[in-house]
Amino acid sequence: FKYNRSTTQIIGAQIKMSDQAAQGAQGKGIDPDTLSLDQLSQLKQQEEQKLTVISSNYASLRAAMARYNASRDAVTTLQAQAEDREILVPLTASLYVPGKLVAEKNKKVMVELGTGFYAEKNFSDAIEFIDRKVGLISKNSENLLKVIQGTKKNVENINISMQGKLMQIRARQEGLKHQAANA
Amino acid sequence: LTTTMSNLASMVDKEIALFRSLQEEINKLSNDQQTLMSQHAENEMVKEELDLIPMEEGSDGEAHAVYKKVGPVLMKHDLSDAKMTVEKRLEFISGEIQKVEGKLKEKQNKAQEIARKVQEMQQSMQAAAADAVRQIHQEQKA
Repeated sequence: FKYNRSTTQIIGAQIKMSDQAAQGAQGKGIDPDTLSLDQLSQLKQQEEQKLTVISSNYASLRAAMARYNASRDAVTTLQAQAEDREILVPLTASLYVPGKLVAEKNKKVMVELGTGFYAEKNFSDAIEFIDRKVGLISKNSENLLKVIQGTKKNVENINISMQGKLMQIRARQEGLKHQAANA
Repeated sequence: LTTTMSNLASMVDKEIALFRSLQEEINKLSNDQQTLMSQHAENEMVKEELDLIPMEEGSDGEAHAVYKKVGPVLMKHDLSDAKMTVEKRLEFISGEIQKVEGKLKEKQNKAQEIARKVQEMQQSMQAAAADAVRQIHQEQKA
C-alpha cells in the first residue's frame, strides 16, 4: 500500500530531528531577565515557531504509529486464519472485485524497509519487524514530547519576563510623570 | 571629513549586502544538510533491517526475498547485492554530508569576518562623526 512509503521517510526525518531537538533543549541556557523587551519578543516568536513545527512532527509520528498498529492487526488476523478467505480487492478507489486468499499460498507478507527496498517476511517475522518500528517511533515520540514541554515552559518564562519588564517600564513612566507634575 | 564618512558608509553597505547573500547561501546549505541527514537516517534503518535478514534459507526452503521498487515494479534483488547497494549509498551520503558541513563552516566564518569588519567600520564612522561635531563646535567658538 502506498501509505507505507511516506511512513518510513517520515520516521527517518523525525528521528534525526528529535535527536537534534533533544540536544538543543539541553544545551541552551539563556536567562530571559537579561534580555531587552525587543529581544524577548523575538525569542518568544522563535520558540513559538519551534513549538508549531515540533508539534506537527509529533502528530505525524503518532499517525505513523497508528498505521503500523493497523498493519500489525491485519497481519495477526491473517496469521490466525487456517482456511481460505473471501476478500474484496480494490481495483480503484471505488471499485472492488471479489477474490480469495488461499491460506496455503499466503504465508508471507511484503514489508517496506525504506528507500524503495521491500522484503518478504513470514507472519511472525513481519510482526517482529512492526514491533521494532513501533518501538522506534515510541522512543522518538517521547523525546519530542519532552522537547515540546520544554519549549512550552520556555515560552511561559519569556512571557513572565516580558510582563515584568512591562510593569517596570510603566512604573518608571508613572514616576517620571509625577516628577514632571511636581517640578 | 564628510567624504571619508560617505566612503565608509558605502563600504558598509557593500559589506552588508555581501553578508546578506552569504546568509542566503548559509540557509540553503543548512537545508541541504538537513535533507542529507534524514536520508542518512533512513538508509541506516534499511541497512539494519537488511542485516537482520538471515542469508540462509527460511523454513519453507526458499531464500528470504528482497525487492527494490523501480517505478511501479518490484524487482527481485539478491540479498547481498541489496546490502552492498545500501552501504554504497550510505558512504556517498556521508561524503556529501561532510562536504556540505565544510562549506557551511567556511561560509559561516566568512560571515563572521564581515560582521566584525562592519562593526569596526561603524565604530570608526561614529568616531569620525564625533570628530566632525567637535570641529564644528571649535569653529563656532572661534
